[in-house]
Amino acid sequence: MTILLFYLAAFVAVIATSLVITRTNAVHALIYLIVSLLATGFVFLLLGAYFAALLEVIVYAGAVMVLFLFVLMMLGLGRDGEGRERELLQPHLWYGPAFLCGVLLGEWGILFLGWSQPFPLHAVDAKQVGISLLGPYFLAVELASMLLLAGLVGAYHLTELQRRPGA
Amino acid sequence: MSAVPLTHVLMLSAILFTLGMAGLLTRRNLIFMLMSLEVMFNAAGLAFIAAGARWGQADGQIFFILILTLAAAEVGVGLGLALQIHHRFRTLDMDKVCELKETEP
Amino acid sequence: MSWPLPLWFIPALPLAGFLLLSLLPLSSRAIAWIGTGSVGLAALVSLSEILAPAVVIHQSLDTWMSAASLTIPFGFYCDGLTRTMLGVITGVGFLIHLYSTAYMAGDEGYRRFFAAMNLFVAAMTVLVLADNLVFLYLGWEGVGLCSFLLIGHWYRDPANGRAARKAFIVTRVGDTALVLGLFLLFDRLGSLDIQTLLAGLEPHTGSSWLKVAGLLLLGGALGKSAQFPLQVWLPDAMAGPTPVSALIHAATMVTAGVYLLARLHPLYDLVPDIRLLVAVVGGVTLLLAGCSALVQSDLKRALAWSTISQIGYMFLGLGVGAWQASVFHLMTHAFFKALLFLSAGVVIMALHHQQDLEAMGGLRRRLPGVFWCFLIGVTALAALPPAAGFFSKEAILDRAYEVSPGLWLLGIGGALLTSLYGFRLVLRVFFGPEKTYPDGQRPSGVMMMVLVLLSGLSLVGGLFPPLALAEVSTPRMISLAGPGVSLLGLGVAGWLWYLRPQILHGWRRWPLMAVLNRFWLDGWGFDSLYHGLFVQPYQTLSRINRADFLNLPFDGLVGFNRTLHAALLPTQNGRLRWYATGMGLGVAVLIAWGLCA
Repeated sequence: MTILLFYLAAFVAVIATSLVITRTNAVHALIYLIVSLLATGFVFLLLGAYFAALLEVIVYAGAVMVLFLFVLMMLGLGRDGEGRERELLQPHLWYGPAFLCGVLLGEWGILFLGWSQPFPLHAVDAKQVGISLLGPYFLAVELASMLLLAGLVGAYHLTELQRRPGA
Repeated sequence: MSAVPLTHVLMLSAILFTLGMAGLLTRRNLIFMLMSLEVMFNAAGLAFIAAGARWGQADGQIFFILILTLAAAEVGVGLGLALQIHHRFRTLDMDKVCELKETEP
Repeated sequence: MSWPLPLWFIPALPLAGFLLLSLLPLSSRAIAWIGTGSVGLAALVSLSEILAPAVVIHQSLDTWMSAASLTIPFGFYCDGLTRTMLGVITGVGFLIHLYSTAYMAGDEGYRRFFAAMNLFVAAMTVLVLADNLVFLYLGWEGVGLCSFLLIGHWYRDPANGRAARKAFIVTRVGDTALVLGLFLLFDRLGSLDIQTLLAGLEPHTGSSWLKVAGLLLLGGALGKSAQFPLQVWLPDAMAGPTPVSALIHAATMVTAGVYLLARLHPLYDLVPDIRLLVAVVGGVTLLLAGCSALVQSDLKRALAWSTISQIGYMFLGLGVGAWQASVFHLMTHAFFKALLFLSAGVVIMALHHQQDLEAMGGLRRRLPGVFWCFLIGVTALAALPPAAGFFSKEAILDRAYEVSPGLWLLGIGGALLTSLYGFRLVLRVFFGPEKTYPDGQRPSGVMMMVLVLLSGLSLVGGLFPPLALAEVSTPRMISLAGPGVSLLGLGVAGWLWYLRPQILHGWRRWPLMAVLNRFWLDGWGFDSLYHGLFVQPYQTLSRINRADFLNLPFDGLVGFNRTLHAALLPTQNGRLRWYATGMGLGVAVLIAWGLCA
């Protein structure tokens, strides 16, 4: 049963990803990307990596994708924002993402109702991850913090839109 | 109860990675290229998680977290660049932005 | 401070003057004071050395270089020979510097001129004070450099630059021989200290390498002293300012070869063949240069040929073993040739830098002071008693007669020529019809003072043969021949250029005389000979090898890189996706390779 859930989630992920790279509208692509990330998160769940699954949903599908959305809005890819808003609200555009999300929701329901189980033998919980992270991988954590700091400074610096000379 | 075979998860990871790469190489819009990069990161992360789960080790998830960090920083810088490029060139078409082109001396 | 002062003061003072003059922007007044003062102080120090008890002084300042068995100190050595040379260099040098302050006034290169002159005096004193041959060589090349700089002083005229280069390159031929000689001496004797060297020569008497060493050192002396066959550079060197011609190309630098051979005379005493060769070279040069001096139409060039001829006398003296007499003649020659050049400088200045004899004449009444000075100089040059040249030249001829009447005949012939061309100059410049009115710059008081001092030295300098030199002359009947032919020369000159100038005009019409005139004017055709023998083949070779075939491999490498660059240029198209594709393909290939391996 569980393996079927995996194949289904994998199928959703592949379909969503294919749609991401073929869309012409960036916002549509972004929505499919979120679906793809959710599907991957579900696969993590099935593999017993609960902590990673949560991070996938919160950080990836939540924070990072919102960042994308912000930038898209700032660039104003649709010049007349209102018309674009109206376009986005058309229901037929939501059929695809909604369907794929529905599939994932169904799968989650199956898990939730206990009809099937993740693979508990291989489950690695947050405690183990935390101990490893602040133990042997302490240096990697420091490096990651440096990386984030550099990203922060870089992003701050790059997004300063000074006027071009002569523009 | 049968476990998901590692090979299958890795195949999924490879498919996602290839899709991301195809997007990166075919799209000309910088935003789409960044999205494709996210897909590729995600696929790599999936491979780590699968391997970690197969041997019941925490290392896979730790590497996933590091990839997450990397992706966050990358998106921050990448999107900043996208804003700047759009500001300067009035386009996000990466084929039109080729200032680093080497010309005959 | 001990008395007399340390020897290194003598080169150090002009050197300090050179540094000051080249580094500081000074007013022309300060330049004159520093330039002349440094040489004047050096002359005072030299005077203290000359007046000090005549002992040999040997001082070592520091080690210059030290490698294995070779140790070269900054060593100074002072004996009678050095004292004589020091007196000439700093004494005459000081007078010429004094003269230059007036002569060069207003020149745009005033500071450069005095800097180079000071450096020259420093190098020349190093040359005569050095206790080893390497230190001597430092001074030797230093004076060559200064000669180059000063001949090309007015560098805006390309002809002056050419003359400077010619002087430098021709003397370089001799210098190369000199260096080879030094190598040979060090190889065989293991030392370059002059006294050690000379003391260690005795056991090697008759060995062939000693002859080779003597020849090589002679080569160096020939180049520096403009002797046959390397005499071609000196007449062209007259392109420099007249005080330079007086100091470097008459009084001091060109006599460096004489000094070298006099310093190393024990070596030449051991190789009589080579010493005879020195005498023959000197004799040939003095006749050859005398003939050329006879027909020159340029005042300074005539004096230059005269210098070559007089140095020929010195070489003759060296060759017959009378090195003291040679140095004596060197000294008197420095006096009267400097006098002649400086007087000529006044004449040239008065005639607006006109050097052509054709444009001169009858200046006796306009420039009486200069006339008398010039006349005294020519009297000394022609060795008429009681002028200085008489004593020194007689000393050389005397010894030549003892050694070989043939060499003596050469010397007597040269004396006749000397008298002829000397009085020819006097008659053409100061007598006859006036051709150009001398309304140029008049000589200043300082210049006339220098001329009078040098006239005095030219008159009485011969009465004081250098104290430290051995007895040089014993009067005898044959000694009358010298003044005799000089008087004969005076008579013939007066007859040809003053009483019966039409005779000369008659001679000019003979084709043979015209050819001879042309030939002597060009210095016996040595210039064209060397041009055809060395310069042209070299230029032809250079033209053939213009592309420089040795460069081909390197050019090929450059071309290969350029081609590769052109081929790879399109890949640098600035497109992000192109680069990403490249990376992707590369990674794919690496993975495929890894899987296969």
